[in-house]
Amino acid sequence: MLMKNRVKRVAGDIPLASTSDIAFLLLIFFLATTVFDIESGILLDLPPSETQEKAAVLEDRSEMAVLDIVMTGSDAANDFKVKMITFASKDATIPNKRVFPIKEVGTEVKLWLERKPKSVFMVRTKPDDPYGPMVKVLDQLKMAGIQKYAIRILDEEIE
Amino acid sequence: MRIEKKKSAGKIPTSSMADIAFLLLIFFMTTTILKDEAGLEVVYPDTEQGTKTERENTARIWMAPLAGAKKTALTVINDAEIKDYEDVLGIMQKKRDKNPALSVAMNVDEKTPYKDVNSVLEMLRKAHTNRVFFISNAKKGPE
Repeated sequence: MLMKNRVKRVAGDIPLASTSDIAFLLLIFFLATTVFDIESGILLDLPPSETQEKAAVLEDRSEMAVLDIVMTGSDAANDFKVKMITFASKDATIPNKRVFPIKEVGTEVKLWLERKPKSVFMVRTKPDDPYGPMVKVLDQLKMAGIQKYAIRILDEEIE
Repeated sequence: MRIEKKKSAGKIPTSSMADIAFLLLIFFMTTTILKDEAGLEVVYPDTEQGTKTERENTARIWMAPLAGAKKTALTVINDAEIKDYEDVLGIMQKKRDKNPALSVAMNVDEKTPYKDVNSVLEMLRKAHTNRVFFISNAKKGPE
């Protein structure tokens, strides 16, 4: 009679000793690759497309301030200033023009609002001028608490 | 005679290290968002303040200046180049139909000519996607 040699079966165990090492490796990977991308920008609510662009008809043109973005140097990104065009009174024919750096727009606008609290603002830029200075001017207007303003592309040369 | 106290060597319990590692791992795995589009290399304008964008409801438009004679800016949506600004209208209308609360993040290089940005804004108005963020490098943290 043949005797079978029975092989003792060992219950299979998954080695768990290295689990924490794997966890640490994965942790290091995620720590190194995670980027907390807090993105922010200047919020702009565009007017609805049905709105026809009407020329602002103001009874008193001294209640309007035009902010023209003008290039003052050769560096397309940084050499920009703002020319603020205003009228002192309803009947004034010659506009007041003041040129100042973009970072002073907020202060100048606040000063203007103290005199003319109902003023409306229009920002104008030339079509080929860069987008950066426009955003900086909008940022300054937001800082001054202005929520509504008009943006226009100026086809003719800014004087 | 002074009675000397036996000082036991301080031991930091390390048995819970693996649990902590797993908890941190789960945190990072759930919060990590892998970028789904490459976009363009852009330099944002510096601003004093900014409003935080809503990641879930935001479509992205990338614009960078081009030195070419015909086109002055390269526009990219979903990593696909836009040949004609009219195409922005169709793409944005589809996106807005899927999500009526859609905002648009304009990832625009500061040297891009404004006329190109204006053309895209016109299309966004027509597509009724009126909430637009001009992405910038804000000095002050998002509101």
